Amino acid sequence: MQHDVEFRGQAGAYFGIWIVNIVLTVLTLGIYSAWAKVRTRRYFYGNTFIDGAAFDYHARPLQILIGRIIVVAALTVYVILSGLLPLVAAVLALIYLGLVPYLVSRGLRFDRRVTSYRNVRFDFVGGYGGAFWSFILLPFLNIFTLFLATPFVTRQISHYVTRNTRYGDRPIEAQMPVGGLYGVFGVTVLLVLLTAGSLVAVMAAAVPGLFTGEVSPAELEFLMAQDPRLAVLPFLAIPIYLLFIIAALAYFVVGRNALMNAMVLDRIHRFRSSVSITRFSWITISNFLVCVVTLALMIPWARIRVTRYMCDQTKLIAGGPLDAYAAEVKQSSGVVGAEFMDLEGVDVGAAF
Amino acid sequence: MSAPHSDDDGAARHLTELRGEWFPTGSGRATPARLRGVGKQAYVHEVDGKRLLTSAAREDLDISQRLDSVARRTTFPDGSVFVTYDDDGVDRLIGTSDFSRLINWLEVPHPRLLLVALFGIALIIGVYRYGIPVLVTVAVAVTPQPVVELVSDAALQGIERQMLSPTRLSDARQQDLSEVFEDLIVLTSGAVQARDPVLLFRDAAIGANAFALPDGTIIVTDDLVRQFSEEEVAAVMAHELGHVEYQHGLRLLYRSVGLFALITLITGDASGIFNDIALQGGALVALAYSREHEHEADAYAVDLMITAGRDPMALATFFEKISEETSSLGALGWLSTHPETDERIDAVRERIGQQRPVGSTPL
Repeated sequence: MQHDVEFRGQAGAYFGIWIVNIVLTVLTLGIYSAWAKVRTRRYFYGNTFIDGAAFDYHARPLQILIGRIIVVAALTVYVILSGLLPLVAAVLALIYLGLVPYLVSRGLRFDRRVTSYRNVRFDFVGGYGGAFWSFILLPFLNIFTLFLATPFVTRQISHYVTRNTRYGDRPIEAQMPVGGLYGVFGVTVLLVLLTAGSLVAVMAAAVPGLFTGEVSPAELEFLMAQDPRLAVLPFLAIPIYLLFIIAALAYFVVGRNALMNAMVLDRIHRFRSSVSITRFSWITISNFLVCVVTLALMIPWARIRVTRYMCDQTKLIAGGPLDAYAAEVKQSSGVVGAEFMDLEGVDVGAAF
Repeated sequence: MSAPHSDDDGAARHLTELRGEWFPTGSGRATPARLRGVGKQAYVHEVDGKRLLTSAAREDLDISQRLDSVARRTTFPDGSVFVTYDDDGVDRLIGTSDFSRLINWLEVPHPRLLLVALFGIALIIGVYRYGIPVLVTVAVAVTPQPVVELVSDAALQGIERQMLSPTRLSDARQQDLSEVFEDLIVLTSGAVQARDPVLLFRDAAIGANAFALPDGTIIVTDDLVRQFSEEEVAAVMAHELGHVEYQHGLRLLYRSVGLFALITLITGDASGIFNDIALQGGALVALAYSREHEHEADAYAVDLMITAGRDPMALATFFEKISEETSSLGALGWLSTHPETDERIDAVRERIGQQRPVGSTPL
């Protein structure tokens, strides 16, 4: 039985929530930001329906506020120490770096535990070691492969995030293929080389000696002032920027589809993600342009639009009736209220 | 329950009970249920049947805030949950806080939301125009000296690596200019002297230019010394001391932090390319802001030159030479970071006119 993921959020309603959040956050010097986050999350989760039932978000603003105060305090201590006792600050920086895997795993756990579907909370069982391997050691080792292993790093991070997630006490399995990611990777490298190569050829033809060091940057500036046609040179980099933006969007889309299509909940429920690279790129880029033209006032509309598209392209292929299934699932013990605070701030962009 | 209720009965029922779903603690098993308030107690019964599912004192219930059409969750002390979409019913039967009511009243799509939005826009502009500058001034005032030095050292190391090399000026020339510099320092305010400004000579590929770091270190390039008279170099040094006096470097740094916070607030925690580009826009604004700083430093330089008994017009002639000699490669360095030269020449002339000591003869 295939279920749609239905998003019922409306730009108008979210605009009100968004603007009131901004006003109150400014008026309270940032304190309201914790309440703002909870209202925003509740709005998006509460409007996401599968089989007629919505998700819910349970975080308490005070939990989030305490977490944020601790983060700000830690950074302030670091800044002050770095001025007064640089050596102590360097040690502190190392300690903070060592804390990153802890923050990532605890952040994910908090996020999952305050999310529910049909009154059953999600959970996260990933620990420090997995986070250290996925987010620090493997990306570091990737440098020595000249970043050629990047899709494997992406896969490891995705696996850490999804395989450690539980719905109630039920596990999620996933064996994400990397072929698609390598496809995006290969096409990107090829296009960048081609574009950069032709740009270099154009520039070398326009300004002889530019790449042999005969023309210094100051001289180039002078030549450009002399010949207005050369003033277009800096704009030649735009195709490269665009290429990188679209490549990043395509990489995200292919990764999300590959991961979700490989996910199996409790060995019976599957997922289908059919996000299109062109459609998603169009939505993202046009959203961005609309937000720029309207001086950010259309941000709520843009967010609703992209969320609705992502939900529309996501299906749950249930192995049986969902209401009966949810009734059987046991919530992991100690999930509710166990978290002292929201160790947020490390957003790993999980697809789930 | 065999006969259908009359309309009156149904309406009355609706006023005293809510329809929804009830979940046992931590369970996904939903039971269609109705919640009734009787006195200070709240009861949840099965919809079809009389079985009592849970009950509690109304004041012990934990009710989620009203938020557009999102489901309302009422959590009972035993951990079980009653979920309903009947917002008005929840507010009437169980109650809601005034704070929650106010927030919701502001948020809902209604003509008054336009006023809220206009207020929001005015607030953002107000924070940008007045709030951030005040915060920047406070932050600059409370920044301890070691932090200023740390920031300056880092900045110096950065530009040394990127574009500076050891000076090729003769020791005698350096000595002369250092004396000129010392003579200017003596006349500066206590704030500048407390920073103990240091003059550094460096050769740079960028041509004639000078920089001031927040801790008072001033760097003069070889081309500046070679191409301009001592008086003109003194005027440029005075200009850079103006940056030190007004703490322009630190102000710019704190301003960019404040702007970052403001933009992040508007674009939200869902970062994306909009956030990135908005921050690039912030950098452009910082550039415009630095133009204002240049004017302040110019005015300061004119005053300092007059106090030192030097020719303040040297600053104007420096600008003139540089704008005339655009064909000279050396001048381009200055122009890229110091635009609108004509306007600045006029401003310098005007300032000299205002500052001329009484009784002196016009030039």
